[in-house]
Amino acid sequence: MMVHSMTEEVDPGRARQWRFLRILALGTVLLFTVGVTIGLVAAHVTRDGDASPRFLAILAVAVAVAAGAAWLLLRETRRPTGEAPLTRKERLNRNILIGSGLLGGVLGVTMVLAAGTDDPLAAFLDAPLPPWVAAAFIVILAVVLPALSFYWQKAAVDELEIDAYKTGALYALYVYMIGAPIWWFAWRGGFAPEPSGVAIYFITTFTMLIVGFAKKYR
Amino acid sequence: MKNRLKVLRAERDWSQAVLAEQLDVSRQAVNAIETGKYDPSLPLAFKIARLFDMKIEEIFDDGAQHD
Repeated sequence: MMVHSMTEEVDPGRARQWRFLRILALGTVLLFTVGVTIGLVAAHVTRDGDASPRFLAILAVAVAVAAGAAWLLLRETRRPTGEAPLTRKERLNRNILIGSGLLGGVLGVTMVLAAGTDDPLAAFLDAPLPPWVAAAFIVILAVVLPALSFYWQKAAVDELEIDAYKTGALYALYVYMIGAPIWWFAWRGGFAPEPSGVAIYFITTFTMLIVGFAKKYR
Repeated sequence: MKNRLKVLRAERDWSQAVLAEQLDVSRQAVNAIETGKYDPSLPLAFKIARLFDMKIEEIFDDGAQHD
């Protein structure tokens, strides 16, 4: 049967894999350049230094690349097929993800600035925070995030995506259950650094996201 | 699991987006079902069957032999 042009498949075969790689690459570039920007600004603020032309040039490049990656990413997710407009559920899904990303960015910048250290890495990992900042983060993680996640699961994602993330969660749980004790034994055996809760958290979370995205867009 | 979703959709000249909107799922879900990469849940299969005014087994085929 001849299939009318209106009924073209979305992202058939290799095109879909390339699209997944493009989103992954753009997301990585965006995260990296946002991190560089935050680090530069935080280091500059905490050191109270002058803005040299070299500093401003590096900052401008980082911001420009981040903005470009964000725009391309938005464009990529706005029309996943390159053909038809997004459905209601896809639009809501995209908007919630963008909102969550912006919230995460605001929280990241707040954490770095509130930590008051000239080491951006320490500001993310283990520098002391003012009690009100720590309390605000706890409330956001304990109340806002579960509520947003619940709404997202109920209203914005369909069963294909839920299935993909369930698979990602299963892989992440295995990575945690097996990887964490391996690191622990390696540390006790003297051939690895002490296990880092932050590192284990991010490894587990990224495993879930990467496997989930891979299953959704495969 | 094999299915006739793509053919039924083409007969009505619906895009994947149109079908996805009617089923309240994403186009990726429609595409994954059509290409056999994802088997829909029973509630979604019923929804598809009702939309096309057919029985589930007239759309989906699990390959099992009938007696």
